[in-house]
Amino acid sequence: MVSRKRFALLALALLAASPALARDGLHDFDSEVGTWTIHTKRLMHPLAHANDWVTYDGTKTVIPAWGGRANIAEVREDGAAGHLNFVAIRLYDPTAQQWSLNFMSAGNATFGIPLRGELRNGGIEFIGPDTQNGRSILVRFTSKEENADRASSEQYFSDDGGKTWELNWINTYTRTKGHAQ
Amino acid sequence: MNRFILTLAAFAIASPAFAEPLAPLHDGVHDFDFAAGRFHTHIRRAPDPFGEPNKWVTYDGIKTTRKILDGYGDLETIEADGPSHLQVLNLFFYDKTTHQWNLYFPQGEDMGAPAIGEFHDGVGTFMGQDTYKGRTMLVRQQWTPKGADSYHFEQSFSADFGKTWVSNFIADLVRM
Repeated sequence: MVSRKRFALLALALLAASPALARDGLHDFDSEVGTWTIHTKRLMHPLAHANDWVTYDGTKTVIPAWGGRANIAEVREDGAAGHLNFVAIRLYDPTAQQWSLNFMSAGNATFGIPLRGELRNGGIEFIGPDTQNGRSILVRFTSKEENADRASSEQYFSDDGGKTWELNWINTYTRTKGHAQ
Repeated sequence: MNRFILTLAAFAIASPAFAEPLAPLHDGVHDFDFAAGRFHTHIRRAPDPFGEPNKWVTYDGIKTTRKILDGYGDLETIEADGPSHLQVLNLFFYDKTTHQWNLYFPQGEDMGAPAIGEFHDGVGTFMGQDTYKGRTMLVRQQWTPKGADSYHFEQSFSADFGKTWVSNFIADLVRM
């Protein structure tokens, strides 16, 4: 039988080892609401030992819903490689204290498997499975705020179960003055 | 397996819908344009459509639809008050390949399965699955525009694979 003191120590050790546990993330996206300019660097052929980076420029608009428990970011960008127009729908699960991240691009109507995430390593980090050229891969998407008006995000793919990650998408955001909320 | 195929074949013979050619696809990307903007909504809801089909409660509020994705998507929110406060988020996406709209009604952190359909003869009909007391049911939504500034919405459940339908959510909307 574990003594009460020993149990308390065990619990403390567990807490210290799990910094992500029991944190209310409901307001994680409040500061993102508004209109931003976006600059994107995108690797056109991920996981192919390629180096064919292209750039896009445009806007990102973030609209809250459900009193903050959901929000929708719409990205519209143009570059030499074409036009990008998609939405990212973030929905909060108060029980799991995690967000789901669901992407949809214009003209499509079926969602893939959502990424799940929370605040970790000083930013919001999402992770989940996806497919690339028919192969199962892992996706990691991280976003960080530099200050109230500047933020960035990055996307990585892994085709070795998360041992190594290849960066394939870099976004930098600047808040558009006059639209901040 | 053979018996399954035979059953399917019998069903196909018995069902005239299989014999009729599909109607040619029309470009339905603008079919939801009538619902864009801010509307007053008057809602009647049956909290227990199978248990107490005659018990209805009413709500009044505002429904807002914002076009997203160059018109290939709709972001719909409803805020209404009645016996409780209703706060609804719906997302509709037009599939340019199938020419159908997929309607999503997220619950919690889950986008859920869509109701799928299109407009014919002035009525949009969308079919999907929902649950009632844990059991899977068919759900049908019908959208009927009434001129440029109002429309009627009705949602029904079926517990017998579409033979009979029970309404549980009816809304009449007028542009503000």
